[in-house]
Amino acid sequence: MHEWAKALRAHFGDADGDVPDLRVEPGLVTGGGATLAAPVIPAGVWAEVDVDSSMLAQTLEHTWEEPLVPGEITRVGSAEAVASLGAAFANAVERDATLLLRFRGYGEGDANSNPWRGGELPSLPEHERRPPESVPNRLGRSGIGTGAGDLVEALAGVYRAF
Amino acid sequence: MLEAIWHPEAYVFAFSRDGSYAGDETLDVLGDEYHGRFLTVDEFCGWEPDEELADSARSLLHVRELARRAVSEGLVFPQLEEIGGDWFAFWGAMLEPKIETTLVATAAAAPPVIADYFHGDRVAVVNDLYPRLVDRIARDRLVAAGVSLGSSRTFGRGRAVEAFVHGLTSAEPELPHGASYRTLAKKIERWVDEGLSRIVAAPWGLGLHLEERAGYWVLQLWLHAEDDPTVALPASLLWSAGADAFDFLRDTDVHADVRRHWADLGPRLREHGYAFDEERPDEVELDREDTSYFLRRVLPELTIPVALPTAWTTRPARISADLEARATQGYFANFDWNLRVDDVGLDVDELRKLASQRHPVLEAGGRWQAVRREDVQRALAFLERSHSGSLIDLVRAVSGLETDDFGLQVGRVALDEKLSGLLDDDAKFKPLPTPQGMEFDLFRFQESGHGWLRMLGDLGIGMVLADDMGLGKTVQAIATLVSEREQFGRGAFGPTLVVCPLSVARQWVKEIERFAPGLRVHLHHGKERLHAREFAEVARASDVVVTSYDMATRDLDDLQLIEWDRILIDEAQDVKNPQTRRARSLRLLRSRRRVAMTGTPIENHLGELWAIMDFLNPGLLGSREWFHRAFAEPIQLDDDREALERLKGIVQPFILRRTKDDPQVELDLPPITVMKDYCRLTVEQAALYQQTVDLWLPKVEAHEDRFGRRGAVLAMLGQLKQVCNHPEMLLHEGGPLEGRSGKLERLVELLLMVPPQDKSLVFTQYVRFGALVPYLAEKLGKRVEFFHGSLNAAQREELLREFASPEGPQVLVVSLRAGGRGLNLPAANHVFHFDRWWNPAVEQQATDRAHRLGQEKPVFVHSLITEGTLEERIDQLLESKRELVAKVLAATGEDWLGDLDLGALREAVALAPDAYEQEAAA
Repeated sequence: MHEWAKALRAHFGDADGDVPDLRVEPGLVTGGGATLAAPVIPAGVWAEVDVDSSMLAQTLEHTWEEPLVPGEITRVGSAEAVASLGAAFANAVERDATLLLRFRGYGEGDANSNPWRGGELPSLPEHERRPPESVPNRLGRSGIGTGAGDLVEALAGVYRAF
Repeated sequence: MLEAIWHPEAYVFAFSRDGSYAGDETLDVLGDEYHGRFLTVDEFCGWEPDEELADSARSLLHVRELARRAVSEGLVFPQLEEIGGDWFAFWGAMLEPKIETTLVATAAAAPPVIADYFHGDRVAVVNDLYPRLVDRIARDRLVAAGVSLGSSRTFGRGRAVEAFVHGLTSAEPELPHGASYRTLAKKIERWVDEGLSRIVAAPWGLGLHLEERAGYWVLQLWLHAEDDPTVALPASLLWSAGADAFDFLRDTDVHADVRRHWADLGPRLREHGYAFDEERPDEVELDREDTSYFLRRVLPELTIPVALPTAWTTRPARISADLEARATQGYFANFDWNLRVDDVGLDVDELRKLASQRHPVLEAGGRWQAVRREDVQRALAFLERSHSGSLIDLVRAVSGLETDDFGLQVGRVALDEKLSGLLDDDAKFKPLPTPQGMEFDLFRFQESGHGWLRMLGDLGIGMVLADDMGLGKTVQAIATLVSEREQFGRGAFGPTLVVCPLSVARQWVKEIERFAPGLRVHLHHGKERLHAREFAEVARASDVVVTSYDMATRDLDDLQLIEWDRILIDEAQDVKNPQTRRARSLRLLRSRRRVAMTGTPIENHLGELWAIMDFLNPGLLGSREWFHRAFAEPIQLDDDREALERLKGIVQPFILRRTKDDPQVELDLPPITVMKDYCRLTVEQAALYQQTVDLWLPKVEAHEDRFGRRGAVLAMLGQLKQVCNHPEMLLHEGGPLEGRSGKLERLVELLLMVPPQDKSLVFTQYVRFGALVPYLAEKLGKRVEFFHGSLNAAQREELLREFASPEGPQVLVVSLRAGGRGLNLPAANHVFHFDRWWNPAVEQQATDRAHRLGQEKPVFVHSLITEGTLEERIDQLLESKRELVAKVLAATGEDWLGDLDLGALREAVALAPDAYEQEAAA
């Protein structure tokens, strides 16, 4: 197994990696209702390294302090969906290691990419018809007394003003 | 095209690449410098640009829109955070999956330029920006809606949590210093983490809510979480919007729960004629008759949660108690209480019926009203109480204290003529003439006081004679002792015990001997004093026994041998702290009645009024804790005028206070002139002052607990005051005194200006001033003596006698603690406050040593204040508090200084740059 894929698997375990809509962009991996995100490695760093070198990962980590497989990855979605996506991404990197380079921002600084241009913004989530004091209801009693009763009671009225 | 990027220093930089967007600020973006505008989070929240937006600006505004939406849905939680030693109340952003996904997708769609200051990490940009926007938007909405919780004060019970909720609803999140937030922060973090990290797995049950609308009622079906019935949502929400809102709160199959419970409840409601929809039950309308049927017949049978209209429960009907009181033998009164809600009377039977209901409701004032069950039960207990009492009970009843204890409000009050007269202010002042056996002619106002002391005294009521210093409280008390013996015969009364400060004990004896030679007086003091049986025999054969507070504490066993007719405590503020051994000892003495004399019933806080009143009339003001909650805290901390008026109404029949300015007091005292004399520090004083500040401030800051901190503050202030007096008072080096203190030199100048035939008093709170006395005497060429606490009674008496004679010392330095009260020193007409006590009441008492009956010359009072130091600043603070002091309410002691917050403290002790004599420095 490619060592990069192995390092990715260490993040996500051995879940089944069947995610048909897997998509890799600089800083983002999406698919299966989950998202993985990590900061990209600055274009200036990519300009200084030889991406074809067998020592690429070591150079990035030790010389530039920018590990190719990031130490922390932001995960959005249920635990199962995230694990599947992670495994699918590791499988994809196993097959095509340049996907990891893309995830980490390689090619972003190319003359062809425009740092001022963005993509299509996602639509805002639908408005939930939830009573205003749902969060205090979820929190339950705090055991913290205020002049207006338990803290959660004092705050329930505040939530109605939002 | 308008670009916008987010900067880690918490601002948005708005600019255009072609320079068309005007702005004075510049920022390097992707290696080029652009002109534009920095927008704070606050400004960005209201930013509505007209220009065409580039992708970067659209991305940031998209995050803003998401934040607005999340706040509208209440997806926020309270957060208490420490940043750099300061504490903040934030609204945290709740990252629901749909929010987080949208944020990450927004980051992915944003152009790389937005993360130019975040190492290209666009997710980091939105993660940094979003919570700041959420907090600001939440805060702005609450402020706009006028929502305000808690209090910004950082003292009193629950101060941290009150300051925290106040911070959440304030425009800015920073919390005031002075409260201990750390423990609260941990509790809040644990509560929020646990609440948000999991959804409780518990089923929904059913409940009914009755709602009042315009002219009709609606009975609604609700779902209540079975583990916590306070968590409830209307069934209509389930039918109209689906299960999302329910699934957010409980991990269960809500539809299955409803089906199961409705199978049981539905048929029962149908039997009573309530036609809910079978498939999707939500609500039915009720007319007045249906509602009445529901409340009387259906409601008592139901075991599910039922909510009555919010207006009923949030403002439950108060039960009023009407009082009719009639005087009986000996000024005792019979009380007849009638309870009602609006116009509907409640007798015991009706109350019992209400008490048996789960939701007590009655129809009164033309509408349905809920009553709290505990109120009904307390009302029943109230009716079982005694229906007669003394004047004290009457005052408590009329003022609402009796009813307060039972959650009732006092309604209509009808008193017969005799009782009305007792509570009438004017009744106090029916004068009684000077008794025959007295060698002194009472002034007219003293005759009124004499009449008042007799009237309440004959009823066995405790009272406070709180006339200003110098108005002759002692002669009024002596007149009372004489006149009651003249009226009822000497044998009708046991002895009166006068307890007073040692410094005035002999004065008491002398005044009795002088003004009422017929009274037998015994001084219980000194090594030769009597004990046990010998004491008891002499005491019983006396009309008055005079002793000091110390002796009364020490010889409690002896004093307890006597059943005193009256205990009279002079300078009653000495018992203001009920926890002291002194105060506790006095309470152990048996007496038929009690009188307190003081010029200042409140020096520091209202708790002192409670202590004195509770000694005189136990129970009048309730327990100490209750009094604190009901009066002291609202009046002193919240300036609650209503509570103040109520308290005045309660204590007013038991306090007689006249000031020298009262029109009825025709004393003809000579005029008094009060001056502030400013002086400056020497270079040595300034250096020492600064060293002291530098030494203590870090210690003050290091204390987290209030008491340790207060101790450090008071220690620092004490040292600074001594530096202002003279460096030698702090250093004790035994060096020369001349030229080292601007204040001492100023005092010498002022004393030299006193005419040779006049005498002066110099008040200080530091016994170490004694070291300066010989220097003063030498500089003035006059005899200067020092009256302080280490003198024994005989030495004090001798010194006072000497000072009173024209040949005696011309300047008397008096330690405030030893001689600030009770002494009669009209021989002096110049008063100097060398250092400030920072309690106007104490200074006033000291001044009154000279400005009192017997004073024939104009009196001049000088307060010495060192410029540019804490003395000047605290003086300014005191001036601002003088109005309160005048109301005898919240005169301030020195302890309040210990509670100043750090900012105010730094400001108070900071040495002004021009505070010392530059010439001397040069």
